[in-house]
Amino acid sequence: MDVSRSRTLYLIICLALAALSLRPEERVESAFEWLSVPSRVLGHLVLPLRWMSARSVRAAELRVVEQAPSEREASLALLAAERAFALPTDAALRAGRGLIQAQVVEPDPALETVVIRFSPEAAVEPGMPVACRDTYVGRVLRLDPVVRGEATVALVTGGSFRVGARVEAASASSESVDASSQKPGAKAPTTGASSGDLVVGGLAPAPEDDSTGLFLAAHIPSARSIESGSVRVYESDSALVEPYPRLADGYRLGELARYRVNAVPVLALRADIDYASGLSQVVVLCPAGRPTPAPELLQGRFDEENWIDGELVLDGDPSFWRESRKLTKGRAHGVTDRSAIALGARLVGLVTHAGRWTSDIALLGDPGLAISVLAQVQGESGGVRPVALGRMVSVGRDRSDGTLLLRWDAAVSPFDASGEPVDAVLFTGAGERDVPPGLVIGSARLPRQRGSVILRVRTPDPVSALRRVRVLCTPAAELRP
Amino acid sequence: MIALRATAWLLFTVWAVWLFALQGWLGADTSLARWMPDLGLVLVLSLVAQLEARDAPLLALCAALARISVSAEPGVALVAGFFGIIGLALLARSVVELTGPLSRAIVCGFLVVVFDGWLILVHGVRTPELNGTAPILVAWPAGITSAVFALVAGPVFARLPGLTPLRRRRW
Repeated sequence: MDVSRSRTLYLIICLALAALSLRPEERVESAFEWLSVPSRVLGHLVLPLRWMSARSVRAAELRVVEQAPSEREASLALLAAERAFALPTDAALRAGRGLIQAQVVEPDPALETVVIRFSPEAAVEPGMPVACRDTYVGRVLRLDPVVRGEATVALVTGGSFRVGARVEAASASSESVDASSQKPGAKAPTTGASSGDLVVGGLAPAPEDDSTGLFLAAHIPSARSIESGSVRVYESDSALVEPYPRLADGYRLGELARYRVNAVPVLALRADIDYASGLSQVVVLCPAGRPTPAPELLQGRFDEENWIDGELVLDGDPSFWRESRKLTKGRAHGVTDRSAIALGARLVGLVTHAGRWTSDIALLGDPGLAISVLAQVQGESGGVRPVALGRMVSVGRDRSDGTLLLRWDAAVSPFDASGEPVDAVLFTGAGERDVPPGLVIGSARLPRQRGSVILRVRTPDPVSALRRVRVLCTPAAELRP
Repeated sequence: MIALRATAWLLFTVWAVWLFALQGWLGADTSLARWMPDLGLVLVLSLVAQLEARDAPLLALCAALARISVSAEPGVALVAGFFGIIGLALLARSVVELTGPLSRAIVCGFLVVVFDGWLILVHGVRTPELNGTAPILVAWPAGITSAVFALVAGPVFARLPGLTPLRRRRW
């Protein structure tokens, strides 16, 4: 082959590889996995380096394991508090209903659906309303055909979602309701003076002066004069056939607002919760008398038997901007993409790519690592208050002091706008199928304002110095085709 | 002869694994990590200066294999990166003499920045959560130290034990 032709061939190979790198193709990626087969053997060549740091690694691991029982106890208390926090506070909203507790395991950035997990013994059916505290979230769309105890919920923010609603005059308050007299569906469980009905569903464009806010679209108002007020679900009229919609009557949807976007008038509801990231624990509303068992905390999917031991090949990564490692376990051992890596009660990282025999993992300081976060803050009464913060994205680690940098995009702030930043301990939250909630991440000061902010998180020990870790594996029965 | 060359390629891969691992190990948990010279790339580029051009694909594959064994970067991106910088080094070799200390240092420093920039770009594209904010040129400190390292240790790296059969280019 002449020089010119071989150069052309070389260039074509380069360009093809570059294109395949930027637009990953599953078959090509798995073909390249064969290249990593000899790397399993080559990885053993770094043993001398591992011996050199063995003592400090062992000390760090011992410290983490020693603190595990107390950290686990704190996280269980927090998860129990979070579960209780998701229950309706208004007695009228509990009356005549069964409340099935569930956890969000798969949020949807497009805000169309979420996947929830509940006790397999619970009688969840399609059409049942779903709420978080006193706020309406959506309704059960379908049960998972593969995994018992999982269902897809259509969110009220979905483009085609519609729910009947009633606007209360601003002075109205449901706290004044006599709870004992409430029966869902018999009459709208709201006592405020109604100023009209409308239909709610989908997202509305945010006003120009509040572009990061989350607004639900309001449709077909019964009166043009409707301008403001608290909006609650009111499905009694439309629920002649379906048995479940009226269970949602009285649950809040948001605060009505009228504003202009590009000179076009918009009638919308300012959402109470951040449907993108603030959903963690929810309740499915069912008729009273149905079995409503709660899923056991950190049991089932996160049972001890589903965790296996693994080792990190090296203490560092040649790519200095990454905080990633090679793990000595792969798909052959039950490891899947996004599996949690932990030690004791602490989150170490997530599997980014599970190969056949080894896996690539991203530690907490790896840029781009996204995790669902639950904060433990001091409540006003002195007790623990759980706050679902939603997804945070790691932007790296400040290596001068080891602080973890997490980006938090809060469309709806969970705190009052006034006052000092809030001190919080951060744990993993619900919203990840293969990451148990309640693993310790670190502590940080949270701003009260919404918007995008970089949090500086102090991690308890340099988890990047660890070598032996625990990996959450997926049981064969739950592996999806 | 074939067995000798095969052994040399194997030894090159072993040396490269050690250097990549040493680089990762020294850079772990230190604020000076971004100043850590890319030892494995210095070895690769030192060897390119004295390699037959037709051996370039094999060099790229062995170097990628070595890095894959200690790094979590995608295999296809590493192979593409090594193919790319070795191709650029061969191109540079046709213009300047890479065995010369200054040209070797400059080319090495530049290609380290290109290689790291490539991996950062791939990571940014494959990680939508970063919103395309990956700083591609963040590796310039590693480029500077790699250039200095290539200036000082380049010839030593090219003459590591077992690599002699690979240095076949006639001058």
